[in-house]
Order: sequence, then C-alpha cells, then structure tokens
Amino acid sequence: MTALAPAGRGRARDPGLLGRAPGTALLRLALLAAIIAALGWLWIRSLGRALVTADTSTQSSRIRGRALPLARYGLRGAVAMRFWIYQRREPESLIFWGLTAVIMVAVSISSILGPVKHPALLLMSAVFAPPSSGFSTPTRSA
Amino acid sequence: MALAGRRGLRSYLSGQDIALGVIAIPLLTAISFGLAAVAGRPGYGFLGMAVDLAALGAALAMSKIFTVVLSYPMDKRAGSPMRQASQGYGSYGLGGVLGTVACVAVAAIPVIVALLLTNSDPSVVRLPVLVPCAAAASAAEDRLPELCQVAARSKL
Repeated sequence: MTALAPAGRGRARDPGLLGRAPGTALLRLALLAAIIAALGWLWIRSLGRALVTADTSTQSSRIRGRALPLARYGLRGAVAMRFWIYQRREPESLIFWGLTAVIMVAVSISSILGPVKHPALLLMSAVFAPPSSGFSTPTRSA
Repeated sequence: MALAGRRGLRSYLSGQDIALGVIAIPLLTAISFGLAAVAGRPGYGFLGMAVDLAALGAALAMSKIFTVVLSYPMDKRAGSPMRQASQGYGSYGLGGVLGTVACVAVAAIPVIVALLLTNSDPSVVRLPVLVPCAAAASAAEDRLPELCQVAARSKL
C-alpha cells in the first residue's frame, strides 16, 4: 500500500490541463477562435469584393483621367504600381500574405510557448516565410 | 502586357520586386519583432530581420528564375475567384514553391552562419553590422538570375 500510495496520490491530484490552468486554456481557445473569426471575416470580405463588385480597375487610369503615379519611370514603374494595386485587390494575394504570417508563427510557436526559447526556431520562421509567399509562384509574372 | 526583348522582361520583373519588397520588408520585419517580443527575447527581432532580408532576396531571385524557366498558363474557373494552373500544369506551381523553399534555405545559410559566429560579440556592435550586411546580401542575391544566365552561356 505504501508503494502504491505516491502514484495514487499523483493520479488523484492530476487535474489535467484544464484543471491546472482553466483561465489560460480558455484564453488560448478564445485567442484561437478570434484568429479564425478574423481570417474568416477577411476571406468573406475578399470574396464579396471579388465576386460582387464590378471590375473597373483595368480602366481606372482612364476614369481618373491621369496616369499611374510611377508611370513616368517607364515600364518598371508602371509594373510596380500596377502590381501594387493587384496585391491590394486580389484575394489570392491577400491570402498569400496572410499565409506568410501564419507560417512564421507556426514555425516558431514552440519557441514562443515552450520552456526553451531557442532562437533557431525564430530564425527558421524567417527563412521559410518569404519563399512560401505568393511571389514564389512562377506564373505571377508569366 | 507585351514585353519587347530582354530589357523589357528585366524591367517587368524588377517592377514586381519593388512592389513585393515594399510590402514584404515591413511585414516580415514586424512579424519577426513581434514573435521575438512574444518569446521574451526582443533582441532576436534584429536577427530575424537579417535572415528575413537575406531570404527575401533569395526568394525573389529564385522566383525570377522559375518565372523564366518554369512558367505555365493559369486561368480563372467558375466558382472560384482564385486563379488556378491550367489543366496539365498542376505540378509546376508546387515544384516552383518547393524549389524556391529549398534554394532559399541554402542561400540563407551564410547569414545564419554569420549570426552563429558572432554570437559572443556584443549586440551593439553585432546588430548594426549584421542587418546592413544581410540587406547587401539580399541585393546581391537579386543578381542571381543574371549569374545563372551567364553560367548557362559559358563554355567550359
């Protein structure tokens, strides 16, 4: 009985994750739910804009009656300005930029939450985020 | 948009780099500093920024190479606002992303080695040197497509 007592006491006292820190667990759940809700809202908003709004962007310069701001710098400036507009407008681009942030957080999450704050994981997130973004897709400029 | 010759293509790709860099540099820097702050090591934000810059330069360079070498058609299909690779080209996109990830991981090694070798140096000296050096490395990596072109045309 004495040999089993410590284990028994240990089992009886182990309240599980929720029992140990219900406030922290609920806070994490709430944070996760808020992130999911925010991403869902962004997704719905992007879809709504892409599917419902009339696409007049290809004629925007003509409608405004002036050239693109960087057009005086030649093809490079015109492409930069046009591509900037695409990045703001296309849901695909917004998703890729969001994905970049998610990948950085996901790669370094154990460094943030874990007991060992190893810098390598933070650096790994910096390595893997840029190539995972949308601009690594070759057809962006094809 | 019609591109007349090599110069036009170069200007086109550079224009894209400018637009992407304007978005990516502040975004990646902010995330790196945010993650470092949450992890309780704010100083790592500078290290993350240095690696960000190097990885960004390499990613942009590789995307240029893949754009020329591995370009493929895309189209918009009914029911989705996202463009998708045309039929028969599905593996091209995945190959481009995986190839870019692999090449960037290799290209970022010098910066990571520099971070490790200067680990014992004081941050006041280390960080102001590392971040500009990483930016310079990023700019140099942007010349990678031209170096590849020169290498491909060279006769051994």
